[in-house]
Amino acid sequence: MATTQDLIDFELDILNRALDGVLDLAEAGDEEPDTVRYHEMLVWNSDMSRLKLDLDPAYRRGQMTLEQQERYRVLLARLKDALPLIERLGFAKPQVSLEP
Amino acid sequence: MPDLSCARGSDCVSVDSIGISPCPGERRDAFVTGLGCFRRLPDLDTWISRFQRMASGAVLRADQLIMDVAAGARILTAEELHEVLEHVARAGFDANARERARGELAGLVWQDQVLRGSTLLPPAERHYVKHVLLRREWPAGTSLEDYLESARQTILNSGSSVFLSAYRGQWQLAVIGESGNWRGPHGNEFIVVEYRVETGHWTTVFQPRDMYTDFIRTAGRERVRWLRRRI
Repeated sequence: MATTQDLIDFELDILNRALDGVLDLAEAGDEEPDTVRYHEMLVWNSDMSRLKLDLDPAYRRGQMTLEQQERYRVLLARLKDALPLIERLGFAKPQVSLEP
Repeated sequence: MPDLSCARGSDCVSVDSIGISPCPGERRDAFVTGLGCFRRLPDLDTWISRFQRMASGAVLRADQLIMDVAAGARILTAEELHEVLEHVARAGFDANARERARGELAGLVWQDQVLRGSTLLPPAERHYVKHVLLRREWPAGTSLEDYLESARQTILNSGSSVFLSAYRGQWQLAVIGESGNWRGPHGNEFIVVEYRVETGHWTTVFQPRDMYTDFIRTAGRERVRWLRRRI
């Protein structure tokens, strides 16, 4: 059975990969069909919910290891840097404080 | 041969049995045929496939029923809703399309190859790799066919909810069903499947974290019309 730390590791990996995908999509511009952008928008919505409902509470409540805390702070910094691209795509903005 | 004159950038119109109406969506990419109004599709094979399918009376009727509801012209009977859902269940992802794996899937192994961001995959495979293999929204051991079958079962389950909506001018039919045994270790309570009328194929099959916020109330979704509501 997965531990809390296993679950947090998984979520951190997924969110980082998701951000890679969004950055890639932003770079592709109009090359990607609308159906692809639509799907990615929906999944990004879900990822922002995971951030708000799962990952950020785990960080704020001290449920992460020190290593995970550092990975989470790096993720927040990446999200902050990516905000202009996220807005340009019209995707949902993170609903958590991006200041660790 | 279809009339492609409006593909040159002028205003486009569709001619149907009840008169003339503007094409939905981006007009620069729209063109008119005797069967209705289409956006210019990304490749010729997809266009031919779509034209051939639209020439089939059964396919045209199901999509026409959807558009009639979208126009507020009618309410579907139970039999008509079943007909529409059978059509949507058969539609699947576009087998002729290809999508880039992109950075999110880079490094994953699929069918004995390490995916690169530039690797092209059929949409069904890309969605499967993303939602089943990477994100584990479906149980471990779920095959590609299992994933697609779970979507079909969700569509055809009389306990699922169904609604129509428009996203940036594109009418889409969404089905929401409980994931049940299809919920994986990182899955969620519902499976959602969405079908886009214009393309005649699914645009998404996944398990959103918060179904209302992430899916139903997503920004840009307009004119939601419930055809069956169980939630």
